[in-house]
Amino acid sequence: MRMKTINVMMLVMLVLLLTSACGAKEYKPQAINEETDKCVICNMAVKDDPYATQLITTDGQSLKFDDIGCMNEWKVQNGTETVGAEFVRDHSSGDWIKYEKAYYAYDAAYVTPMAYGVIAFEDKASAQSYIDQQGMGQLLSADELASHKWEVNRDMMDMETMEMHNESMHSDESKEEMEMGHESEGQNS
Amino acid sequence: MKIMQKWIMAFILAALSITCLPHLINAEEQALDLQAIINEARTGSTIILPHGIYEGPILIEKTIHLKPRSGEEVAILNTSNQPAILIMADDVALTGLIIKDEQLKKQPTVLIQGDGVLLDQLHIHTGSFGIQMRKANHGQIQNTSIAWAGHVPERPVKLSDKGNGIDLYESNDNTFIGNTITSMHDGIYMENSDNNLIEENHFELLRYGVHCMYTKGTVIRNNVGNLNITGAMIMAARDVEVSNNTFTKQSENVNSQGILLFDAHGTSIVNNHVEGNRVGLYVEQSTMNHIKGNTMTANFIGIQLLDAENNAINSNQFIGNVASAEARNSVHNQLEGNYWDSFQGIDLDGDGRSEISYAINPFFQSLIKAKPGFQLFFQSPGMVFLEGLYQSQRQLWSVDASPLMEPSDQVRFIVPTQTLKHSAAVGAGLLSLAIYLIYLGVKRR
Amino acid sequence: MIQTVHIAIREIKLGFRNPWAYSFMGLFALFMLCLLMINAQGYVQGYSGITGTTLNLILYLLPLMSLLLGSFSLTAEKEDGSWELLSVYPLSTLSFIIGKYIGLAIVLLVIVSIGFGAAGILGYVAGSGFGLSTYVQLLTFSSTVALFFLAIAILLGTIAKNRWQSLTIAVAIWFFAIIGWPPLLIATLGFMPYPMIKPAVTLLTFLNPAELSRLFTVVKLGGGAILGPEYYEWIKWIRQPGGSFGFAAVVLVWIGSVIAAAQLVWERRRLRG
Repeated sequence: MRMKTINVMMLVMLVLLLTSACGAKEYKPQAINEETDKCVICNMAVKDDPYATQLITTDGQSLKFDDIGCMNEWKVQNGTETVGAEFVRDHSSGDWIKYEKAYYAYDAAYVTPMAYGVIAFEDKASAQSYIDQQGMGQLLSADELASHKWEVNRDMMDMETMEMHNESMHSDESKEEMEMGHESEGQNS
Repeated sequence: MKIMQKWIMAFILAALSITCLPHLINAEEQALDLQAIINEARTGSTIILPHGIYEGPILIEKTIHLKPRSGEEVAILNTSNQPAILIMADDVALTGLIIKDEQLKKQPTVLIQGDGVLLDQLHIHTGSFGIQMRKANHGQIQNTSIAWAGHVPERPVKLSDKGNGIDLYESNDNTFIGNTITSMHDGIYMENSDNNLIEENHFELLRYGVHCMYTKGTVIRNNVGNLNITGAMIMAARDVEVSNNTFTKQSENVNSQGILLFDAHGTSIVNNHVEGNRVGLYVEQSTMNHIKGNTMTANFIGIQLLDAENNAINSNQFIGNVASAEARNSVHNQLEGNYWDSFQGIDLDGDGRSEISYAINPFFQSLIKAKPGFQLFFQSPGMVFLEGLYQSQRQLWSVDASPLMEPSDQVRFIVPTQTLKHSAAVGAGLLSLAIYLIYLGVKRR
Repeated sequence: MIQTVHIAIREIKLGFRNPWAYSFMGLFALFMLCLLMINAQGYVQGYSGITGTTLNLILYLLPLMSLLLGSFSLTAEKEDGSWELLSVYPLSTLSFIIGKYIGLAIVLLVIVSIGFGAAGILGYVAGSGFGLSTYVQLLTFSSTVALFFLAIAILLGTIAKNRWQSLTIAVAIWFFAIIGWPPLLIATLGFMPYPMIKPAVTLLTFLNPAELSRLFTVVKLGGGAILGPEYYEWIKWIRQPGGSFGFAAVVLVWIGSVIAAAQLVWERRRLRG
């Protein structure tokens, strides 16, 4: 019995040694598994779509989020000391890109899973062209995103007061516009 | 009326030619379809459709009532990537139609942008969203079935391929009664939509049965959810009522639960029956909720409280769960008068309540938050032992001050009760074999 | 071969004349019946409160029973000198060990069967018990746990000099495998970097038969989801019919290698002695 325990210990040590040997830290994003991944912050299932984001902690744990806003919320709650790398996905290709290198389009009326309205792009041009195509929104670099206010398009905390504001301000026109799109296409056929 | 009949005749001919020569349809022929009938109809009229397959997409821009001739089957087939039916007018009513819209696409099968729309007894087969409501208020959808019918070539269907059964955005005061939604993404999804009533619906094989996001005043009553990832997902919501619902067997997914409250405040969760789920009631970062009179039976975890504060949890029954309750970092909750079958209390003054309180041990939840790999030890003998040893900071635990000694009423179990005959038969076989072996063993030769 | 059969038959006869076997039998049957009493649910199917409790109670009781019965049987051979007598005959160590294992396994399975048989029949009478598939799952669980720990007991009985030594070690093994397992792993693996924890826990689980059987049964009862996303691939695999064959293969390899180890040790002592 004692021999077995020693063997086990040695095996564990070996595995440990191996991992620490090849411990040159390079963080790689994991693929989204729709069957098991849930947003660490909001508990929703993370879908394998471009809204998904991922944060790898310094000890290698991959935390997944369904919306960039949730990842920001995690950093607010837990600080950034343990953050190894952050990844977002390009809205058109779905490729994982580094958070710092991406460009962002924001508009309160963009529909994202948790309604933060921020969408990531690989480069400035594609972000700009998305904004142009939508006819609304603003372009943000990762640095500018750091000072972003992260409001959801309907703030529940002061819902009673915000409601009027919300409906009269941004969301209305933009939604209208999208629907107009459907409508005209609908009539064409 | 004569014109109507003429159109209908024309349509039947068109339908015949379509069925015979499906490859030769062109725009001119399609013009002779339901759309033309609708265009011709007067505002406020009722159009009765004879048996047949009608071609979509359909645009409804005036108040009409569309229904099949009594006892006949009317199907609308849409192969375009537009909504099969787009309703832009108020007070439109659709009754008894079958809508087949199996293309994978972004557009929903039915898109409602008018107020006071009534959909009754529709059968929707969709490869997208079933029904989308955009700024559509005071509508009613009842007795309608929505099922996923999309086909994704060359790979299994992913959740993200599917749309929601009923999807609301900025749509208030709608009523959903007696609908059956299966195999979609979410059953009824509400975002920025208030005061909707969801009653007596059936949700099966969905991601979330009912999903509230940024809503208030939603009423979810008498619904049945089975085999979904989560029955009712109440997120970022105020003043929601969830009562008398039944959620069973939501245990397949590693993240499934009967009812989930996240960032929900001031909701009332009353008299629900939650059976055989991974977690019966999951409450996270939620405050001021009233959780009362629910029965949580045979779940892996009865109730799970994470960072939940100031909730009132009374008169619930926790029976036959693998772990009755788990909690982490949840203080100032008022737990009283619940029945926990895993807890043995002592009633000294005979008021039916234990004088010893039931404290929920936070050890396991704290452990797996830091190291999810240890979740494997859930309720293992050693983990139960370890939880017993862990007693630090007891004043911060969630505690039921006066748990009930007996369940308050007859507990019902919904999971099919077959007879125990089969296991008794196997048992009898085992017993006689064992006794025979013992006899052989002790017998002196 | 025929020697193995003789040894096994002798073992069964010894087993059923051993008062220990009957007290364990009574204890196990009593445990099973108590479970029916505390079950409020009537008909039980799948992973729920009562099945979870049953799993844990079986883990408290059966491994210790198997360890004691098994190791005592071997140390008794040494203590009362019957092994010295047997070793005079051309009896191979392997057939002796395997014969002992088979004989003791039958005694243990009879004990398990009495407990389950009584629970099955009385459960039917009282209207409170396990549905067939859950019943069979739990029976399989008990049998594999008994067989696993019997193999360990054989090795233990080989190593231990006398009954008292084997009793001490048996209790230590039981405590380590059943109670001390999670605390020990949490304490030793806690310092590891995150990505190592899951592989380490997975690997070590294969070394602890109690944990391995418990997890297999939890998954087969439909409770896999509670084990968390980390082990999802394992859970998915175990749930298939192939998972049962995989588990059976692991059981065979595990028991086979422990028996082989016992045979080696015994053989060495025989040559020296």
